[in-house]
Amino acid sequence: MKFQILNNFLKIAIRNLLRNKLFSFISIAGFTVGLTVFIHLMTFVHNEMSYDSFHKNKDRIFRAVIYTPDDKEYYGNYPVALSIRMKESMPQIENAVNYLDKDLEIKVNGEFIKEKITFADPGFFKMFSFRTLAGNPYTFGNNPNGVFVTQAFAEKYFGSSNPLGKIISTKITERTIQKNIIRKNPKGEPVHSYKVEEKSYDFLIEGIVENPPDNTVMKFNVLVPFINAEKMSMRFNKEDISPGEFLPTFFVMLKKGTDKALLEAEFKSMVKPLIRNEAYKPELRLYPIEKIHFSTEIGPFSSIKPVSPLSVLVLSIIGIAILLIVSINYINLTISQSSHRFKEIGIRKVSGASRSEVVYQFIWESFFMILISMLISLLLSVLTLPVFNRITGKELTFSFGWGSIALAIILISAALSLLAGAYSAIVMSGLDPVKIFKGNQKLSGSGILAKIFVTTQFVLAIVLISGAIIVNSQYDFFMKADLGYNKDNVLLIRTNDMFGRMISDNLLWVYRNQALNLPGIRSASMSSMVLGGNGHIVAQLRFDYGSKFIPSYVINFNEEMIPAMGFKIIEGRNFSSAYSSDSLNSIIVNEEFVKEIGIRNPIGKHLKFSFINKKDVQIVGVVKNFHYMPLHEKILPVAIFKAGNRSSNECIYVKMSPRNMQKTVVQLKQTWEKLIPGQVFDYVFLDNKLADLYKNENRWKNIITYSSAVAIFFACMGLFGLVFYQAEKRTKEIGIRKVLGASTFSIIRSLVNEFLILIAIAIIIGCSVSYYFANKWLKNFAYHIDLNAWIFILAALLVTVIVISTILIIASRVASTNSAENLRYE
Amino acid sequence: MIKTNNLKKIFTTEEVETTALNSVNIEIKEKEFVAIMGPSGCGKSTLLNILGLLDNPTDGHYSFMGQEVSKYSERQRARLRKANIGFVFQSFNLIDELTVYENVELPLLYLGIPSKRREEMVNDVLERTQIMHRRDHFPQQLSGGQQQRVAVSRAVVARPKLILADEPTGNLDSANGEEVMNILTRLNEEGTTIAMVTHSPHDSEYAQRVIHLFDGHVVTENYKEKFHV
Repeated sequence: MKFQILNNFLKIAIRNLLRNKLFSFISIAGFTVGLTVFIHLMTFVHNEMSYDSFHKNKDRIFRAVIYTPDDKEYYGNYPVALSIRMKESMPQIENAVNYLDKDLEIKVNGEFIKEKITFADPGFFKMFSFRTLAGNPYTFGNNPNGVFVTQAFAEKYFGSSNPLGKIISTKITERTIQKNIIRKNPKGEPVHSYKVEEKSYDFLIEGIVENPPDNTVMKFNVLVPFINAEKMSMRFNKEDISPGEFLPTFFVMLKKGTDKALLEAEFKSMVKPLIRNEAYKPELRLYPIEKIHFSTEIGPFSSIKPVSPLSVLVLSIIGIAILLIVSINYINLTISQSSHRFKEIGIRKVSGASRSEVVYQFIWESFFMILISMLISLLLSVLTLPVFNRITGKELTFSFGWGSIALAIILISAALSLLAGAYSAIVMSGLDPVKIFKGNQKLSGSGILAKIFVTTQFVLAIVLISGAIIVNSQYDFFMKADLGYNKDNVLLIRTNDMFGRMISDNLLWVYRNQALNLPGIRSASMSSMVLGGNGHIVAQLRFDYGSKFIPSYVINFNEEMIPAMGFKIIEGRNFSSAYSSDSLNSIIVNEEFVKEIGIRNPIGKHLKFSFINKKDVQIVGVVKNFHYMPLHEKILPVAIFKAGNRSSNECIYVKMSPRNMQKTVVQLKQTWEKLIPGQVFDYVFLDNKLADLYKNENRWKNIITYSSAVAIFFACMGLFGLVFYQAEKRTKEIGIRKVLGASTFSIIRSLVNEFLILIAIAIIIGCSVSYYFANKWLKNFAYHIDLNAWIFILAALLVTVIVISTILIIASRVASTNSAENLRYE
Repeated sequence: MIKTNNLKKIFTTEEVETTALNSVNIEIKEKEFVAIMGPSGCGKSTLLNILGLLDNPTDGHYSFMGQEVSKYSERQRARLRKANIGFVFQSFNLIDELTVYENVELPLLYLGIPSKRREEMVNDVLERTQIMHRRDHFPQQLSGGQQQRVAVSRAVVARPKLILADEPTGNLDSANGEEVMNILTRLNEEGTTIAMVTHSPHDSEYAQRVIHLFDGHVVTENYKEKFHV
């Protein structure tokens, strides 16, 4: 195509845009908003897809994961006994890094705060491509007390002053088993004795790292040499593998040209001598670093939280659906406006334009308009990215190069102009100049394609509306589900931590009793269970009942916990100080536990607790199942011991009166600081903490609602335009019908009928598509809403109402106009 | 230049067949000026459209410049048309969004003529139709006569061998009509073949020959004594 002709096309395009301002505005606005949302969604999708793709050696970096074929589970936390042996005996491994996140109390600038500390082996910077701003990354780990902090961390605590050379100290309570001191409990059974020591570690800031980007699974603040993890009381078992341990993530970088399958095979012989239990047959799986973000099968005790790839698929589909909707709107708008351009097409044809030249012209016009929209939307999407980030809770940035932006603009504009421009171009170029000049050219707009367009829009509208309803109801379900306890007005105070601080239980009980005397406090219960801890509940242990063994979580409650927090005893009784045996061997179990034993009357039954030398325990009560984990996870058997003076109490649950809660919290804090000085008063409102578990779903809900709202708006606009156009086209017919005595009602009915069949088809397709995806998504959660028919009925009804009311508005206008006027212009 | 043999055109709608042309045999020689006359609906415009390669006949033969074109595809007709035929319409048919200059330039664009040459050709024809002073105006800013002069300019700018005019004076007052007819006559004198559909006996006076159509048939052909200088 010659430039001169393009120039002529451009001129016509601009003059047409200026002449028909409303049309131009609607089209450009549609594309602009559609493209802006599309760009946002694609930025999100791109970010999700590009997790950890920035590492230079990404093709050689893998996460080692244990797979057990009998239960088909993948365990992401890697036994240290294995990683040590792999490093020793597998020469194909060029570099290996243990990686472990831990929330610890640290002292910076004289103040104690809780921060996430990340322990990593010295090869960290050789393996991963995080950029350092100061310090030599390759010497990380040479000094066991030298740490690297992120820019954000440095700014947060040191402001503009140079953080290099500053000290971060942490305080750790170390428990060492005293092997030579054997104590006996009142029943004469031996129990371990611990030496409890509070130790302080000082770290020297040796380097500053650029903040890890959003698209990495390793979001660290402070990098501490891994050797400290062990010093700081996280004793790793180096001799054999014991499942359920709190373990690091293990990354390996293989030498160039190494086949990971060979390594996975080699692993089997290596692991054999380490296994005590014959039935346990672990296998090695090496996950490419780029796949970790989507590896939802790895769980559940992994500090890296993968997301489902379904989200990326669905968001891409929504993005494309939005473009499809605005394109269809553009097509309909162009076609309905095209009669203004009949003459021009006729003239061009008699002036020597071939059909293909007319096609080019219209596609070029669309391209031009879409290009304008694209440029505006680029600007708009940059400006509104903070809003999108707030919706998604992400920190997305546009980090694409100018080259790829230009390429994307041209490709997307070209694809869209083909999509949106081709149909009208083909229709328009097929016009017959003879008919145009005779004045009897009509558009074949009611063809099968137009019907497909309408139906597509109905389908998209139904899918998006029902999708938005489903995602919102699931989130609502999370927020309102009966958890088996009452989470309102509860302040959770973290006291001790398995691997962190260790405040003496006596002191905690004193604090608890003092807290109870404060006004506004209804109860203060002690427990080892951290609700809302996202899977952090003490490891599964074993109970034997006859020949059966029941793997169960073991926690402890003090006797107030059950009534104060609203747990329900459905059989037997709560702990009570009236029974001295309660502190020794009584347990309360959940319904799931009872189901696992498989007996009718569990009360009074005796079991052997394998963890403590087959200690005899007796079931005294059954508590209704409660969600100690997020609703994604199934409830498993739980056994509750009575929390006594010597048990590890990780939390105090303070139930408060809803009035003056802030004041009460201040008083609790003051009491704490007086009694236990130097320890952070670490608290959170339970309902907030629980809501936090569903951050991902909340983000998900927001994105879907946001993009669906945009899509639905445009779909409705399109529907409105279409119905309007159909009614306009039939103005003459309606006029004639009226002259012949048809009532307004019968005219409206005939218009409605035309669309009803299309709606019916769309409802069937739309509901099936939506059902399919919703079903897949809901499978991510052990507890979820049922896909009730009403969700789909509601979506279908909404679309039907929109269409019918549009028809009614337009039809009543058309039908009630003076029919003589409609016919006069014939 | 033009020769038709038993030309037939039938329009078919769902139930009715209308015969617009039936066994039309006409011949138009190069450099001739022919008028086609007849009552409304007699098939004049249909004939002109077929002669102008805008439409194909249902049956019969049509030879244009020695080529049998009755079965040509749209693409073939478009190619032949753009190099050889110019059209003038009763309702001018100018593109409202283009200036006088741009309207006239249009056929040259589709012929792929370089811009400098185009400018010469357009200016030349605008001079000859005496509309040069309106070069950068839009059609709505012109009178009917001026618009028709622009339309004629566009029809002839590519120097076609044949000009087909469909009632070129139908929307003009007599003074403007006169002027347009004079332009056409001058073009004919310069060697362009012209076929013109008209209702006006006065306009037909300018032609050398008049073909009368009635109900799709050629009824008479009158030669006039007119001399070329």
